[in-house]
Amino acid sequence: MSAALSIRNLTKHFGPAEVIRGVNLDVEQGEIHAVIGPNGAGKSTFFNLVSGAFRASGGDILLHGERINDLAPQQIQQRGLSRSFQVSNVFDNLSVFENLRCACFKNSGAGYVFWRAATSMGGANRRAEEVLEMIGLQALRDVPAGALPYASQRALEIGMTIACDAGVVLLDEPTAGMSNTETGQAIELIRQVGADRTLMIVEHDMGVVFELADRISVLVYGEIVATGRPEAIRNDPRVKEAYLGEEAA
Amino acid sequence: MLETIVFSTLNGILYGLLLFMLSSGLTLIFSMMGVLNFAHASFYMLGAYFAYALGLHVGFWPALFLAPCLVAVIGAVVERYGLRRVHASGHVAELLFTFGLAYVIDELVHLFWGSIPVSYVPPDYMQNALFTLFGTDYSIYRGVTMMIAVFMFAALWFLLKKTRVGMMIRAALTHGDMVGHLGHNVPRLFMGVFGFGCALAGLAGVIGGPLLNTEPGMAQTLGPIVFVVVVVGGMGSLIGAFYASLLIGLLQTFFVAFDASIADLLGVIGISVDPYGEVTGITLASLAPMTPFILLVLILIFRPRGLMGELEP
Amino acid sequence: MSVFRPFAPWLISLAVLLLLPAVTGGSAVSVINVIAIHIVFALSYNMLLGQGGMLSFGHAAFFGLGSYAAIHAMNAIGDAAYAGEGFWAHFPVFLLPLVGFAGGALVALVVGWPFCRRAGTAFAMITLGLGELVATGTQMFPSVFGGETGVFSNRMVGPVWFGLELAQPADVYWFMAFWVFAAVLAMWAFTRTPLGRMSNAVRDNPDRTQFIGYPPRNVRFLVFIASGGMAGLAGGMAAVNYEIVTPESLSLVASGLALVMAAVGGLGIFYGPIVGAVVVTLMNSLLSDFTDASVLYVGIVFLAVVMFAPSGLAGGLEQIRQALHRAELARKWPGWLVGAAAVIAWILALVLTVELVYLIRHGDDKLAQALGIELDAASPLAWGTVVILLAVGYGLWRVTAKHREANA
Repeated sequence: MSAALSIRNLTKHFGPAEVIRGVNLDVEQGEIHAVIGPNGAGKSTFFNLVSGAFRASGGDILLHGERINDLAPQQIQQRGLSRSFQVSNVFDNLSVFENLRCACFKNSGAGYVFWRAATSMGGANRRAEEVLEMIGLQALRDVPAGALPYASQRALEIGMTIACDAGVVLLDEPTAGMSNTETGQAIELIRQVGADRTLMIVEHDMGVVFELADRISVLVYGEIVATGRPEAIRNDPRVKEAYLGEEAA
Repeated sequence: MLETIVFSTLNGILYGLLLFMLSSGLTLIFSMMGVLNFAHASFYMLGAYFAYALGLHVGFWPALFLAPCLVAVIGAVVERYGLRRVHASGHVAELLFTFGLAYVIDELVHLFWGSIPVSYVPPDYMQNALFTLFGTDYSIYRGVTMMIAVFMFAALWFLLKKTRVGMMIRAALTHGDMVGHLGHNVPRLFMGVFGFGCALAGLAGVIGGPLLNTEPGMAQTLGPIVFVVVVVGGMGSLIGAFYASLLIGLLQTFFVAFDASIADLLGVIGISVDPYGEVTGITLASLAPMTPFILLVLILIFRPRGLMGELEP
Repeated sequence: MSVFRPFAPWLISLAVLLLLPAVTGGSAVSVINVIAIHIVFALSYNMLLGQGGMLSFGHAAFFGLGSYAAIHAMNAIGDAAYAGEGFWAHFPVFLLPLVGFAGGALVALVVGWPFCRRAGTAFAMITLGLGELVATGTQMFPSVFGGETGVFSNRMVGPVWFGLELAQPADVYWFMAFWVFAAVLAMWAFTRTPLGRMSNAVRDNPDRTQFIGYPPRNVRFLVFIASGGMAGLAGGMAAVNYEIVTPESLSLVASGLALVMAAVGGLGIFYGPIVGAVVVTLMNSLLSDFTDASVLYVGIVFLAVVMFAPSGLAGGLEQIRQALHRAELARKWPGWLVGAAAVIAWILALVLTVELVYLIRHGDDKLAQALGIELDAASPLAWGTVVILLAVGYGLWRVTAKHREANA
């Protein structure tokens, strides 16, 4: 079983509050795996743990079999896992293209170079152009990221996340706040992104989830209560109970 | 020797309490509003000068009360028409504003009162001895200012621990944004806190002026030390500011009093070096002005969050 | 012709540098030399603040230490040239700014790592502490820092480059012109590199950069070193210009000056600090002949920029440039012109008030004497003029405010 990402008994507490209480989860290579759950279940904390923003209190996080628990975010990124953010986290004063190019620097070997112009870094520029086209923002190429309309910012957000060629990508509520048309476009983009990558997505929009996901895990009060294919999850009584309360189950 | 220790302790504590008066106002403003008031020492200076100027007309004691009030009003006006405007542009813009304010206040004082120190002194009877220890007088004035400082400290403690406003302030010390969300009139609270913080600074000036000289450079001398106190104590921690103030106050005072050179100290542990060398001739007294900043560097290296500050997540 | 477009500012600047001595009188050269030093100093400061998002109150430490390094090197050159041998005998005074650069960069390298953990307010306070530490520490090592009087030297020593014996300020001008051009070019080029771009990214969103592979601390540290080096380079220029370095060059006042110049000029635009350096230096040097409150005026200008025009003077220039570019100037300039007239009215009111107050407090007023006006602080005419100017300014502003908004 070649799990790209393997979570074993992950726990996290903030002081006396146990937010993640023993999560077990496998994300298979190449699949699109959605994580859903009611508000406050700990989904953002979960992402923060996997991407290195928080340190786990216990358990193991294995990326391609390698334990990444105590690594810094940039080290995890180097090993091929990258994430997007629920609230757009872009570089407001840089143009769209520059945002993407910055995300490409590390992987294209630009490092901390200060003796060559950024425009001459061929690898980074090429990759940034590719991603720009993929997310469909060519027309807004020179617009400062802070001035973008919301949906375009979200698209840029995803673009920056995949710019570094990570094999495993975590998307944190990619369609949050989008209208129906925008969501449709976002779904297409995510599908494209997921074609040759492993994706783990946190989402609230069930339409998106059932449209895209190969498998779904349900996170409730810091634990996974169910994992399986979409139809199975849709009919699972525990899931219904978690979302709708005991009467509906 | 004992005499030096006793008097240095008394003076060090007084100086430390003065620093705490300044840094407590600064910490309150910082915790409530997120802005580090670079002009804080300038309000201290205004307090001293106002007390001097008012004192010429209404006498020493009335001036003691009026000056901090005047400084508070100025602080409130500054907040209402200046800081609030800049608040929307972020913390850097606020810092730039308070920096510019400090600059302008310093120059205005220069303009008004000239470059020479003014003779802001307490009335003659205050300069008599409160008590005499080992042949040296400890003036009544020092005793009175020590009392005022202690009283202010107690009043601040009472305000924070026992009143509703104090509860709000304590809440704001750790969770500034939430206080606004809870429905309190935040703009008015900000104006009040800023004014109050400036009043504390002004009071420190009223007391410190006679002790430390009232001259246009006093803000620039004391200002950086106050910021060091805040960083060393842990930004946002009132208790930390208290400990740091006393620490720096005592250290600086003792260094000045015990004028030992590095050669002397090495001699104590049996190493003999040239007492007139450039490095070995450095005395504790000459180190005294640097003490706060040396402490800052040490804290930065060994405990970056400060004495009582919180760990970053 | 469009191939030359990107080079136009550089070509124009080069032309200005070459033609300046011919256009201005001999007495202006000293001020121009100082302006050159300040341009480099202010631009180096903006590498930290405007481009990197790091507000520093201790920048003069690098300027001053670089300056001291250069002046000691100058003395070493003098001694070695006199003795006829040694490394320094062959080192031209012309290259001393590089010694300054090395000095500034070295200090930044040594102290920078713990500093760059945090940005924002904490960084500002820490740099304040560093600046004061260095400033107060100078008294302890008189052999290095020369005590209150400083260290002096002679620049007419050692190998001569480009025929510049550096005797007169006019000779020194070409030295300054070379270095200011080279330094500005270097700092501009830096902004185009990957590191320069990442510095902007760290300014905008430090949390995100670690997720794209760049811990913010690393980026800040490297920029800190580059900026410190450039400040040291300016210090080296100063050492050659003044032939003396005093502890004043390390002081909080000097650090504040960098901030004021950069902010007044405009933090967000590359050439902003250049504009700021020119304006502030001119105000400081020229105004002090005419009024005792020159320092106060600079402070008020700074405060006004921070409160009302955060993008600085360069921001205003950019607005004009944009309007020209989009052919909108025709409809915008009336509103701007009247707005400018309003501002001038307020400035006059302010100056009058300040000078009147000075007159009251000190008995005489430099500006009034310089202008040959009889100022009487007791007369209602004087104060009435203040009020009228304020009212006129306010009126002009309000009347055209709508016009400006409509044409924005």
